[in-house]
Amino acid sequence: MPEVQYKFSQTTIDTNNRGIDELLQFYHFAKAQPPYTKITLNLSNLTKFDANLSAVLLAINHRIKRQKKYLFVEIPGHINVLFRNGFVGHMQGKGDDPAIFDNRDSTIPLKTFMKSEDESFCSYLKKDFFGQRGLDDVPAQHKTALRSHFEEIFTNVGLHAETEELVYTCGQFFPVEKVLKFSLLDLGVGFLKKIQPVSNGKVTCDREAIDWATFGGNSTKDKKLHGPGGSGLKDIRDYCSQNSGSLHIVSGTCYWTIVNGKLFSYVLSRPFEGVMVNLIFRNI
Amino acid sequence: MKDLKIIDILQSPVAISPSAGLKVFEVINSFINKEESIRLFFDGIEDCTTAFCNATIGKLFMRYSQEKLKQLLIFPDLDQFPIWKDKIERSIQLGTDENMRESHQQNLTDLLAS
Repeated sequence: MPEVQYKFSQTTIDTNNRGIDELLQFYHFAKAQPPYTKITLNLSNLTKFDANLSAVLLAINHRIKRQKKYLFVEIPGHINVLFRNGFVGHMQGKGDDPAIFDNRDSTIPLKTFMKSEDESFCSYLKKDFFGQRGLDDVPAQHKTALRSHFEEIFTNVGLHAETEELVYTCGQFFPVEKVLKFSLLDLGVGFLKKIQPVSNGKVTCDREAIDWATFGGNSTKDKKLHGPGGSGLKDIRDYCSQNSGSLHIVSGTCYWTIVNGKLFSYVLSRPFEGVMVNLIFRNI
Repeated sequence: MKDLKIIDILQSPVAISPSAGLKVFEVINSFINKEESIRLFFDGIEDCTTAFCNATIGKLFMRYSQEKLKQLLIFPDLDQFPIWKDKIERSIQLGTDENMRESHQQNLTDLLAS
């Protein structure tokens, strides 16, 4: 069995365009390997890995496995959050085993859902996510509003990203900085492939597809079926602005983010095959 | 006047998916069609999204006139749920007002230009 090693070129994997680019470069490295290769991802050079992004690593693992390759992740002691949030359990094939999850602090578990499992997702948010003791001091009305935003993201990904594949989700609360990070992604067709044919030629690239999806530009057919468009993004945008937060969406080669009401987009070096949404809330 | 509880229609406190919204829409629509008035209750609902509100309330306001729905459909306990009240009000605006829908698109254009 051929074996290859990989290390990230940066020492931190943060929830931003650079961190996501690093993860995608790794995925495309793994994708280029022949079947039955043992791929070892060594995290020893990292000083920090945003635990919410373990959802991305798990999705990469599932995709690599389907390509008949084997991913092993070497995790140094200082990134032990990946043990505590269930990532290692998932990699060992134990799935969403609650026994693995250690809820001593602000760690929020890594979970997978079918997009039809809206009740399970809501239950996860209530019990596992906002039930964490680390979030005990967050006022109830804040929790309700945050939960509502995460549910908006879950339903939007279900609406726009045509997939029967799993939805991966994970969060991380940083109590000292009072920052909450949340990631949700799928490995569907991405926005562009689904939206391009129904946009009457208006949508031609990944950036425009994200704009279309997030601002509720549903087709006439969708409006007749689902009622008027309106993705709930405005609420999320307003809430992010009030809490120094930000909304980040990745699809194809576009990294799209709204910070303080301003939109920025970056072109990633390699495409993401699906849709990823990251939310960062500060002053929680 | 018929009292309807969303939780009874869905058999669940979770009202987030468009398909759940359409289920509630179909029930309400069957009464509105017959000019019967409804009191729709959110009591017991724990989760609610824009997609649900658009598929239920937005779609009703696209189909029927605002005057008619104001007479036939009321939400007696919505004031207790301010976050969802905002979503419902926006769905009503989007369902009622073609200009509002166009304005929604204009916001997108403005944002892209910023």
